[in-house]
Amino acid sequence: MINIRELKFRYHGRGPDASSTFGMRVDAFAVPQGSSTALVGPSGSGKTTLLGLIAGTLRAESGTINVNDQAITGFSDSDLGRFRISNVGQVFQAFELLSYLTVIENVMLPWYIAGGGRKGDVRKRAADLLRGVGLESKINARPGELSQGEQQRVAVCRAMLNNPPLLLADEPTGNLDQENKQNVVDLLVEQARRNSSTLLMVTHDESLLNKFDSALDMRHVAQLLDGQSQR
Amino acid sequence: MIDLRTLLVSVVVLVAACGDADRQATTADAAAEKPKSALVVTSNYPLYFFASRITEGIDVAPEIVFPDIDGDPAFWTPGAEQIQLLQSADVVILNGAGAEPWLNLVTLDRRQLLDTTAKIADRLIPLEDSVRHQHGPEGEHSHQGTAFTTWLDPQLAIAQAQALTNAVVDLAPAAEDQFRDNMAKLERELIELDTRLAGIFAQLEDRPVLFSHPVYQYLQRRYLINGKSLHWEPDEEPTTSDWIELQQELPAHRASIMIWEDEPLQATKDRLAAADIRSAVFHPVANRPDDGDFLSVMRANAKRIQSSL
Amino acid sequence: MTGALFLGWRYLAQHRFKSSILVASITLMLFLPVATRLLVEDSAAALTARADQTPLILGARGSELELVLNTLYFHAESPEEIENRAFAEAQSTEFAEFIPIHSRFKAHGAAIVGTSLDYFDFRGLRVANGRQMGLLGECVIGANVAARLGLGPGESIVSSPETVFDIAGVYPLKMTIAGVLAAGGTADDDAVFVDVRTTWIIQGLGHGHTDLADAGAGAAVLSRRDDMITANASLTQYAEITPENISAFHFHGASDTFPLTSVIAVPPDQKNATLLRGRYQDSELLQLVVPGNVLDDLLETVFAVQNYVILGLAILSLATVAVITLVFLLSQQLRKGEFHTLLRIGASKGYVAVLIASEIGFVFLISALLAAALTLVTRHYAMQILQTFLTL
Repeated sequence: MINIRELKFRYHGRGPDASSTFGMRVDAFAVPQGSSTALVGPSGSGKTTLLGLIAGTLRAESGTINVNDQAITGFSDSDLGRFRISNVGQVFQAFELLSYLTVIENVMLPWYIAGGGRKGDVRKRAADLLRGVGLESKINARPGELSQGEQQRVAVCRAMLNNPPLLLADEPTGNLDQENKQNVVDLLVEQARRNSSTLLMVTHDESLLNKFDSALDMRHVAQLLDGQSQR
Repeated sequence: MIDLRTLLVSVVVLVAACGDADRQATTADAAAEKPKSALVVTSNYPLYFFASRITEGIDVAPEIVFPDIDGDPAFWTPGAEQIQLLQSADVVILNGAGAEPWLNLVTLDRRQLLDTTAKIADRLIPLEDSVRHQHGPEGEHSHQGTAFTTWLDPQLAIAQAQALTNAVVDLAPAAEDQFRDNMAKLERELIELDTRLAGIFAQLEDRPVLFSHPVYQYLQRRYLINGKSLHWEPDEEPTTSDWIELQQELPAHRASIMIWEDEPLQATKDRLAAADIRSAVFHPVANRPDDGDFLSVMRANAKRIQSSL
Repeated sequence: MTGALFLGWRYLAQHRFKSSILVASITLMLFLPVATRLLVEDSAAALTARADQTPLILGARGSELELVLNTLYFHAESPEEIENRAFAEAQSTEFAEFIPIHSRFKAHGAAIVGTSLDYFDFRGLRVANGRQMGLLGECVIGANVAARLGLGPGESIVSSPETVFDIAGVYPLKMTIAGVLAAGGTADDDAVFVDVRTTWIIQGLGHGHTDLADAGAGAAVLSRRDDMITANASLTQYAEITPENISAFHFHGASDTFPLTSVIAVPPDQKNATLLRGRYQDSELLQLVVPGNVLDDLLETVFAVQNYVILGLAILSLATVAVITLVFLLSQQLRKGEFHTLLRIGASKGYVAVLIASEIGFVFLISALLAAALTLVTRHYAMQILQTFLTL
């Protein structure tokens, strides 16, 4: 599903961060189709950067990234946008729901961005997803009216709207209590399995690792450049 | 089922047809209506009589109206409907000489008004015996000014009728010749009346005469009648002071005839007769008579005076 | 991109308070200059129309503007007066038709205008309800007076004393309403029209009382000698002219000296107008003015003021635009995270641009629509607004 070769990435800060740089090299990285993989490692080891490169929100200096048989390193920005909408479902640590949309509208956000399909059908799909996570009674509520766990479940539904083959989750449990952490991870793994999606999730929580098919340590995946040490 | 298009077309045709029918009706109505003639309103009966005679038998002549007035037109205050009639008139024929004090109380367009004595103002008789009153800082004043029964002098009546004729000609110039012919006929009749009255009053040979009311100034002046006026009402018994006033007048003014505006009470007549004063009625004919017209009433007046001599 | 418009709209709807303030500010920014121009143009047109309809005004020498405004709008509190003699003398020239105006008094805030029947033909006024005034003491009232006071034909209206303590001078006269004029959208709608002689009665130059010559005048008579009767202060004067007492009404003094506030002159042609103007050119007491010329001077000032007002509004608008821009920029700053999320999910930069533009666009669109609606309403009700403003 994911195949990375000879990847080099460098990030230069702008403005107040002008003095900060970050660089890493990934010689080879692969995640099999349909698997669930936890990505662990110390802070600054490049976990979020790797997810960004796979999602196409960051650009590598050189190397190749293949996702679902698509060589995204050659894509334009608009291609990358279209690629993400259709192929990548993302769940973020801070949920990142839009406060001015209802729960169901948040789930439908990918459709509001890129269209595709009749609104009625999309709305039904979103309602089904929400029913599946026990939020049927809250489809017209605003995110502010939900608990953190409920909000993250909505975010998971949003990520699943277009049945993406790849599910990326960057510390989705970082802001949740223990019980909700377990629930959300279970949900992600379950959704991925049900959809035959590949799940790659960044986490610091070792208690969650047993829920995944495998766990990769970032220190073994990438090397930092310019003498940056991995803590 | 009628389709929408057919329905819309029908509505449009129907509306157009209605509009056409309205136009045809209006045109027909307009054709049926004759243009309205002008309206002339007179302020007293003599003027109404003159105007009626001048416009008699002429199709295009204006309509002549004299409002229904109770009593003496000189003391008339028009009601709301009568004011509307006056305001709607093309011309309001006035006697002038103070005969219409109601003019001060009524709102009319000055351009409508024709004063038939305006051009003979130098021949009007000013009144001397008026009651003055005073209140406030404005000082004394009185409310009478000029004698107004100008039509009792046939010569002045002719002048008034001439002014009236000119006004009527202005309203219907196409019939000018006919109006002037009628006026000439009226003038002849008024001259004949004048001659007759002159002959009758000449028989008095300056003998004193009493008048029941001060309304005969123009008659008196025209026929050189040696007259004095009292303030007696024909339908009221004279008061004691009235009789005293008469007694006080008689030595210097030994009248044998008293000329009344209307038939006096028999008791009054009898008492006057006891004082060797005969009563004779000379109707001022300011208002519409029960019988006859202005000329017939004046001729009857002449006859009664003749009989009393 | 319709999704971006939907998101933009929902964002605005969610932040109603902020959106409302922005819409209100922009609406006012757009509407005020237009409304100012509209009202000024409409008022100028109305002033000009009424002035142009009035060829010449004769009045006391002094402020031309006061003379014109009082004659056209019955505006002055204490207008300069001329003698009725001036009216009679003007009529004798036969250079024009002359219409007397005496507008000094008020009845329940409405100007009482003493005039002749010619005024109604001149202004094209028509009695819509009831009839034209006929007797002294009757009046016809403008449509607005009737509506404001709830009066109609057959009812009455009382003139107001000039001052609270004006006991011996101008006294309240109860006037019978003969008719109500059709609304004309002019100052005539707010006036009470009477025969000019009725205003002289209000002024105390004429009155009605019991006939002192009557033997029953009794206690009101101070003395009688020969043909002179003097009344005392107990003489009751009538405060209302009725068909029963009208014949008792009379005037004191020479009517030539009675006052008018102006005379409208309607010459038949330019030649007569010129002859008439020449006649009063050197008069010390009187002036004959062309209302249109007098108001042109006034309007020049009005337009100059309008331009300053619009300039001021424009400067204010710049400040408003600056503030609105700041608000939008701050809004974008606050929404940075939201935009980042959208980009991460897969929105293009163009999509985000449309989203940002939609926030601004919707606000401006709603403001423009509101400003247009307010403009239409103002245009429709401009004359009523102006009349209310002018009569305040």
